[in-house]
Amino acid sequence: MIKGFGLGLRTEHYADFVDRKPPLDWLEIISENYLVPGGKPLHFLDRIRADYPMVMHGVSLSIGSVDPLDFNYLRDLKRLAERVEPGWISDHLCWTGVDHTHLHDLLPLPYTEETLRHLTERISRVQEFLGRRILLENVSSYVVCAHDEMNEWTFLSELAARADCWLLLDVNNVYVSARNHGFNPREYIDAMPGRRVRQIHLAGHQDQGDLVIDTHDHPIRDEVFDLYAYTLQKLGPIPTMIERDDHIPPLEQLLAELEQVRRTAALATGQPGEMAVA
Amino acid sequence: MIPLADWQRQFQQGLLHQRVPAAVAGTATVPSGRRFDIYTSAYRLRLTEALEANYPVLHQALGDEQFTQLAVAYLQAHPSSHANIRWFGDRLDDFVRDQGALLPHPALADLIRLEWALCCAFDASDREILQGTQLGQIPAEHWPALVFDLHPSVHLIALEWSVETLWNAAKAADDGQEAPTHDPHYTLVWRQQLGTRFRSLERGEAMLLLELSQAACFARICELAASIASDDATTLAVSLLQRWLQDQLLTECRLLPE
Repeated sequence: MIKGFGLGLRTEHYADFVDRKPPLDWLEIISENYLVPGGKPLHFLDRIRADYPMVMHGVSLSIGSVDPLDFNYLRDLKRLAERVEPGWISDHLCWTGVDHTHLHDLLPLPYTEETLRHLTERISRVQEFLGRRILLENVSSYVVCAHDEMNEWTFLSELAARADCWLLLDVNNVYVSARNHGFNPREYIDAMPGRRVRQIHLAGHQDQGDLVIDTHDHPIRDEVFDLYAYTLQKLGPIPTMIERDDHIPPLEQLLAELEQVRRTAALATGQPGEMAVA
Repeated sequence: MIPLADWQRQFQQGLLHQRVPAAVAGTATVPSGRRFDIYTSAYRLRLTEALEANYPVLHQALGDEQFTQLAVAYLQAHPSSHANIRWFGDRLDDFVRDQGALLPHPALADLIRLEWALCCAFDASDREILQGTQLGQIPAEHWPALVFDLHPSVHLIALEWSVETLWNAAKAADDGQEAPTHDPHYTLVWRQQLGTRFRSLERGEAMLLLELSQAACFARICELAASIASDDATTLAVSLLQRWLQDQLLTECRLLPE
């Protein structure tokens, strides 16, 4: 069972995890990094998995695309899940390409009834194929569709209920999108169906003034810590991790930042944050 | 109302051709063009970085500006067709052969082939390595009919230029490397334990390894060795076999069905 606080596993820290085994409740892997035939990635995955619980986080499901579901990808994902035995599998509420082109970005969907129906049907098929509920994550966005019929938080909440899936709430993404589109991030958090939110992501971003960019290349900002505290006050303790994908610092620095997350969570929920003991 | 399929096709065309889709809403303070540019810039940057990750020495040889020009041209011609970005760049070899003008030196096309082979060797399937002790247990009368399987990471590539020097100099951060010379040869690329390796081959070794990769039996390998070193064909074949065992190129041996 996944509880407490985790980090994203990055190649820069393989040796730290293998040699020093720092205390950490769990690790999140990017599924695609291990959807390869063999070699170093799977070697280190197996070694590190022996010491840490893991969850799998994908970037290629393209659940919102109008292309057919990619069952080759899903078969590979299922095989990887048999190897990793993850606490859960997540991906993003987005599309990543159409007409068999892959843009490798987490692209925004129009928030319409048609999109809701499309997603509900596809999520059900994916969950049936994988034999488990998946978590879907809210993405950062810089544009909205001029034909949206509802706001993002209503859409997300309605989708989770209809598709009977779980949610990965990225608090930094809520903040980024709120700034970019001028909504109140707390209103978004208030609308989240608490029992469906199974994981939280935190990350850093770049503030360019007119727009805020979700870069994962900086420490978590104070505004995001504040929104995280608010989220836990509303929803209670939820397994939380830091995503860092660029300018990756030494592991010690991320562990120190995670300790700050744990303290924030403890203060917000009035419960001692659960943290692995060495 | 915009159908979901229309939104996605307009958005994708916009990204590929840098046109802001009509259905993208802007605001008074941040117009739609500025907003959409976040996606177009990130798309180019992400795919260029993915290409750089697969071709680090090519990037170093070309420099940022020329490499980015190549990446953008490649991206326009071959948008990614793989769900996993790890495979982006799989057609760069063909692309540069069609578009030779994009490279300042023809040897760089060979560098692309070498780097892609290294990339494929890096995470090729794992297999148990054939050990010398296993071979030692095979009765002498079976040897002529033995065939060998190569490790899935093994690639034998025909190169026109001595690009290995370029690669080695780049990895050693040696700015004063000599330009590659025209020197047609085979290079062997493979993974030994977890590390990728390569070495250029003498013509004889290349011919024997090519034959072995096509499931030729050991008797055939010896015949071919005789055409290369008529004096001592068996010694040549056995010494190469020992080298291939040490290099961990072989995974299995079995008897050729009669």
